[in-house]
Amino acid sequence: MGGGPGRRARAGVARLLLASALLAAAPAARADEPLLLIVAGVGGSPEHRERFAGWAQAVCRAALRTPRPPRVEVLLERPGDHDDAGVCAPVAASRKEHIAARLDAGRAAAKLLVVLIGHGSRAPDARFNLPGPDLSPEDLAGMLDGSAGEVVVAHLGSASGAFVPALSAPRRVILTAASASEANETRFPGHFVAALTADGEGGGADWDADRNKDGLLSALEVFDFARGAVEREYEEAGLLRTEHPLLDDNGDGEGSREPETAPGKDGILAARTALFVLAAEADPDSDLPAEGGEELAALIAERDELAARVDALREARGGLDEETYLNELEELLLEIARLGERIAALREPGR
Amino acid sequence: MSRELAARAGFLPGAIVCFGLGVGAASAGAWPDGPEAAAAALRSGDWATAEAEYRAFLDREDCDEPRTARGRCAAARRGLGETLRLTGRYRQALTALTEPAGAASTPAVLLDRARVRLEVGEGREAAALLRELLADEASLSLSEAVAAASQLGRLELRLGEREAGLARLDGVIEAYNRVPAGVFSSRGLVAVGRAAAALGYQSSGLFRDALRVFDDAAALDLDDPAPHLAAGDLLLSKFNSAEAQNSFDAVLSRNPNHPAALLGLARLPPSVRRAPVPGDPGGSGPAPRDPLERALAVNPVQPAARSLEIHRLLEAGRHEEARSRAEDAAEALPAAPEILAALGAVHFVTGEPEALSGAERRFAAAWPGDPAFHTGLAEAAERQRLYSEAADRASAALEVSPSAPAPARILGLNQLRLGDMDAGRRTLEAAFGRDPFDALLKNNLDLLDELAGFEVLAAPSLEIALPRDEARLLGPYAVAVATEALDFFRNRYGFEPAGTIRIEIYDRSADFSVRTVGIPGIGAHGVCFGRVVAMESPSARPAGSYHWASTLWHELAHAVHMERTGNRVPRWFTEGLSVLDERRRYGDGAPLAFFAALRDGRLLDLAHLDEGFIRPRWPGQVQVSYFHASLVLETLENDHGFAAVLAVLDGFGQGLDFESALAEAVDVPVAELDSDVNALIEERYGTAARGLAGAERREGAMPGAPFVGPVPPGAGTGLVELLAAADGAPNDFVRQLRAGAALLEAGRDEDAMERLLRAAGIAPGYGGGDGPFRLLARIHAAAGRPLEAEEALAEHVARVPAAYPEWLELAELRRAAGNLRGAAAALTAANWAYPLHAAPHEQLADLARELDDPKLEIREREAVLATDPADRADALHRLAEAHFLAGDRAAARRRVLEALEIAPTFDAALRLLLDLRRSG
Repeated sequence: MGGGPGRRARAGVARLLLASALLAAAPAARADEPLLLIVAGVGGSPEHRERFAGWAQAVCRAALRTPRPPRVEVLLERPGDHDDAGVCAPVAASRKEHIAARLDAGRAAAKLLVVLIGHGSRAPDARFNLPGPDLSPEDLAGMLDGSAGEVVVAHLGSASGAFVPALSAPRRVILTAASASEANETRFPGHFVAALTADGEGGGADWDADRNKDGLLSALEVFDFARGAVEREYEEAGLLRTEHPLLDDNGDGEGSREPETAPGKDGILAARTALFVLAAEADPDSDLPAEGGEELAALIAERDELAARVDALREARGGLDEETYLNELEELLLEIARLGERIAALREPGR
Repeated sequence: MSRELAARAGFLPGAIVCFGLGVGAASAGAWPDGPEAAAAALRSGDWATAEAEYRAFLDREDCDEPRTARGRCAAARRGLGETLRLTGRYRQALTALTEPAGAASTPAVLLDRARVRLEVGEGREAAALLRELLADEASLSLSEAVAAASQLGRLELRLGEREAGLARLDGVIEAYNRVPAGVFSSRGLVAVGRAAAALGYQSSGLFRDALRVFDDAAALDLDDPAPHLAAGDLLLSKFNSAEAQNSFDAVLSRNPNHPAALLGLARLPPSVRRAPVPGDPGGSGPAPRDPLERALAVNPVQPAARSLEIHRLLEAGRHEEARSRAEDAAEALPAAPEILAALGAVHFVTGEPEALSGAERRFAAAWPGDPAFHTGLAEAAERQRLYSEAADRASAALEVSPSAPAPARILGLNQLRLGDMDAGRRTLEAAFGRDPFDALLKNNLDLLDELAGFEVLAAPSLEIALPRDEARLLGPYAVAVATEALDFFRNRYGFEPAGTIRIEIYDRSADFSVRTVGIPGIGAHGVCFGRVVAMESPSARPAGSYHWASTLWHELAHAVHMERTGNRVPRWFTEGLSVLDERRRYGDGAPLAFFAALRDGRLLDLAHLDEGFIRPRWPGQVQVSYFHASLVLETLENDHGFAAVLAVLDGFGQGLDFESALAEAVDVPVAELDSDVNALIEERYGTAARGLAGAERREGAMPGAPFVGPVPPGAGTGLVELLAAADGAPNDFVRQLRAGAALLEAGRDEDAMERLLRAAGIAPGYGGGDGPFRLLARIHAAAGRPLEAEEALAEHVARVPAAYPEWLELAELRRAAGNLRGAAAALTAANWAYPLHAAPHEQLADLARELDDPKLEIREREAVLATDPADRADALHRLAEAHFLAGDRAAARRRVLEALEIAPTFDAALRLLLDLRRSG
C-alpha cells in the first residue's frame, strides 16, 4: 500500500480490507464490484477534446491491464467519435444526467473512483464544464450520497479545489488539480495520467509512482507523483505556478497541499487506498495455490510483520547511532529478502 | 527632522548654534533672479543670453556705484556669477561677484563667492569668506546663516577640522528644529538637507530627513535646480539610481544644459540610465550623446566632470589621453581637489610612484580631512581589477575619514573579491551600521547571508561554493569541468595556481549580479576577480540559453591571465583570450550581431576595442567585442605562436601597455596586427557580412542598434514575402534562413533544404541558435536519413554548444545507430549546457553500464538521485547496483539499504542485498 514510508499499515487488517474491496475478483455483474468512472468534459477546442478523450481512454486501458481490474466506464463529450476504442469505448456522452445515472448504478460498489478530466470554473459559480448543464460541487455531492463503499474523486480541472468543501466526507478521498481560485488550464492531469499509465506493461516493479514498490498504487502516491511533476515542470520552465493541487481525506472540507500520513492530517486514508493493483501477488488473499496456500499466507504475514518492524525501526532512528541502525535495518531486510525467496518459490515452484 | 536628533543637537555648545532666529527674509540666499529676461535665460540654460542680459542690466543700472550695489544690482550680480560659474569661467565669476569698493557686502553675494572659491579648490579662502559672513551674524537671514554654516561645516570636515565641522553641522540641524520650516528659503532648506546628509553617517535617520527637506525645498521654488541636484547626489551615493535619475531629469526638463545635472546622469550606471536624456535628440538620430560630453561642452573645466572623464579614459586603457586631460585640467584649475585626485589616479595606473606621492602630498596639505584622493585611487584600482591595491587605498581613505561610507564599501567589497569573506563581512556590516540606506551594502550583506547556506566542495586547487540543493547535481560536474580546465591551462600557459581558486555558483541571477557589481541587472553570466570566480548556475537560466561549463572555463582562463599579469591584463585582451580558449573547447560560431557589425563598419579598431566592453555604444556591442577580441588573439597565436601571447601577457605584468608589450613580444606594430586581424575576418566572414541586406530596422530599436533581429510583426512574414525577400538578396544568409524555415513549416522540405544549404554555404561560421543545420537535420530525419541528420546536428552543436535539445537529439540518433560512445559524448555535452534534467543522466548512466564504465555510471546515477526523482527507491537501487559493479561493496550496501528503507518489499533491491551478503 502506498503513502508515506513512516505510516504504512502494512500488516494491518484495515489495509487488507480496503485493498481487497477494490481487488476482489468477482463476476462482472456483482453490485459491489469496484467502479472506475472516467468523465471527460467539454474540451472547448478540438485539440482539448482529443486530449481529454485520450487521457480518459489511457486511464481506462491502464486500469484494465492491471491484474485486478475494476469495472470501467468512460463518458466523453462526443462519444460517437470514439466508437472504435474497444473495451474503452465511451458508454455515453459526458452529460450530467448520464453521470448521475452511472453513479446511481454504482452506488453499491465497494469502491468508487471518479475521475473528472476537463475545464472548471471558479467560485462562486464553481462548475465542471460538461456538454449541457455543467456539474456543480453540490450536484456531484448529491450523486455520491449513499455510496456504500469508499469513494475517491479526482477532479483534474481548473479551480477544482472549489469542489472540496462540498465533497469532503468520511471515507472519501478528494484530489484536485488546483485550488478553488486557480482558474488557468492545469498541467496536473497529464502527470496524474502518467502516474496511472507509466510502464503499465512492464510489471509492477517499474511503476515510478509506486514509491514503496509494494505493487499497489495508492491515491497518495499518485497525488504526490503528479504534484511533484507539476512543481518540476513549472520550475524548469521558469513559470509562476498557477496551480496548487489539493488532497482531502479527513473529511474536514479543507484540502492539503502537502498531505502526510500523520494523525489528524490529510493523507492517511489516501495512503491506504489503492487505486490500482499493479502486481497480483500484492493481494495476499488472491492467487493462493491449493497446495501450500496456508504456508504461503503465513510467510506473507511474516514478511509484512517484518516490514512493519522496518517502519518502526525507522521511526526510532533518531535514538540509534548510524551503524547500529544500519545493521539492524539490514538484518530485518535480509529476513524479508529470504522470506521473499521462499514466497516466490511457493508461488512459482519452477522458478 | 526627528525629535531624537533635535534632542541630540541640544547637547552641542551653544556658541555655534546661535543663528539670528529673528530674521525671516525667506528670499535672501535664494536662487538668483534679477531682471526677468536674464533670469529666464539662466533657468533655461541659454547662457549667452543670460550673460548678455545681466551685463546689460548691470551697466544700465550703474551697479558699480556703492549706493546701488544692493537690491536688484546684487541679484543681477549673482545671476551673472552663476551663469559664469556654470559655464566654467570661474575667475570671471569671482570678478562679477565682487561688489564695488565702499559698498556694504551682500551676504548672498558672499555666499556665492565662497561657492566659486570652493569649486576651484580654494578651500581655505572659501572658509575665510564664510567665517567672515558668520561673524556678522546679525546681518544674515536665517537661510543665509544656515547656508553659510552648512557650507562651512562640510568644508571644515574636509579641511581636517572634524570636531568643529560636526558641531557646526549639528548647529544647522538644531536651527532647523527650533523654527517653523516656513521661515526658510529653498536654498536655506537645501543647506539644512546637505548638513543632514553629511551627518547621516553619524546618525543614519538623517539621510531620510535630508531627502524630505530637499523635497520641501523643491516645492518652495519650482525653478531652483539646487534641491533636485542635492537629492540626486544623495540618492546616487546610495545606489538608488532610478530615483537619482528622476532628480536629474527634473532639472534637465527645465534646463537641458545644466552641467551638474548632466554630470549626475553621466555618473549613473549605463545599464540603468533611461534614454533618451532630456534635451537629447534621441529617437531617430545617431546614438544618444553621452551626458558627460554634454556637461563638458557647457563647462569644459568642471572639475568633477573632468575627473569622471579621466577615470573613464583610464578604465578604457587610454592612459596617455587620460594623462593629457588631467594635465590640461590641472593647468586650468591647479587646486581643484577632484583634478588633483584624478591626476593621482593617472600616476597610479601608469605606475609613477614618485609623481603619485607628490600629488598625494599636495592633496593632503590642502584637504587633510578629505578621503577623496585615496577613494579615487581605490576606485581606479578596482576598475583595473587590482583588488588588493583597491583594498589598501580604501583603508588609507578610512584613516583620513573613519566614517566615510565609500571607502568602507570599497574595502569590504574588495575583501570579498579577494576571498577574505570574514573580513569583508565585518567591514560591510560596520559600514551598513552607519548607512542602512546604502542599497549596495544591503544587497551584499543579503548575499553573504545566502552564501552562508551554500555547500562548499573541495578539489585540488579549487573550492566550489554552490547552493546546497544543487551541490549534489551540479557539484560533480563543476568539479570535473574546473579540474579539466586547470589541467588544460597548466599545459597551455605553464600555469600553477598560487593558491586555492574559489568558484561561487549562484542559482539566482540577482545574487550573482550583486556579487559581481553590487546592483542587480548587469546581464553577464560570470566574472573573475582573480582567485575568486562568480557565475550563474544553469538553474538561473532556461535550458538551451546558457552554457554554464564554457562560462566556467572562460572565467578560469581569466584567473590564469590575471595571476600571470598581476591583474594588469587589459579587459579586451583577457576576454579575447578566454573566448578563444572557450571556442576551441566547446564551439566556434559567430553571433549574428558580429556579421551585422562587420557589414556596418562598426567593429572597433584595436586601440579602442576595450571601449566595446566598458562603455558600449549600441546594444550587442559587448557580445560583438567578445568575439572580435577572440579573433585578435587567434590571429596573434596563428601568426606568431602561443609564445607570443604569453610574452604579451608578461609585458602587461611588467606594466607595459599593449602597444609596447606587442612590440617587445613580436616587434609588430598594433596597426599591422589590426590589419592581419581584419584580413582573417574578411576571409572568414566578409562575404557573408556583405551579403546581408540592410535595413530591417525594428520599431523602437535603440539608435545605433544593428539592423538585424526578429522580423517585426506584420512586416512581410508570409511565405511569399519571405521567398521574395530571399530572392532579392541571394547572398543574405539570414533571408535564406528565414525562407528555408518558412518552407519547412509549409511542408516543402526539399525547397527548404535548398535554401538552408545556401545559407550554410554563405555563412558557415554562423553560430546562432536558429542556424541552418538544425533544420537540415530535421529534414533528413523526416526523410529517413538518420546518418545525414546526425551529421547536420553535429554541425549545429559544433557552432552552438548551448543547443541542449539538439545535443539530446544527437545522442538519440547515435544511440539508435549503435554508436554508444558518441551518444554518451553527446549526453555529456548536453549536461554541460544544462545538467538539471533527470532523463539525460539516466540515459547516460544506462550507456555507461553498457560501456562498462562504472565510474561514469556512478556519477550519473548520483546525478539522477540529486534531481529528486519521483521513484527514489528505484534510483537508489540502480546506484547501489553501479557501486556493486564497481566493486564498492560498502557504498552498494549503504545505497541499497536506503532504497529498502523506503520500499522494504522492493524485490530487485532485496535480491541485491542478498547478493551483497552472499558474495561477502
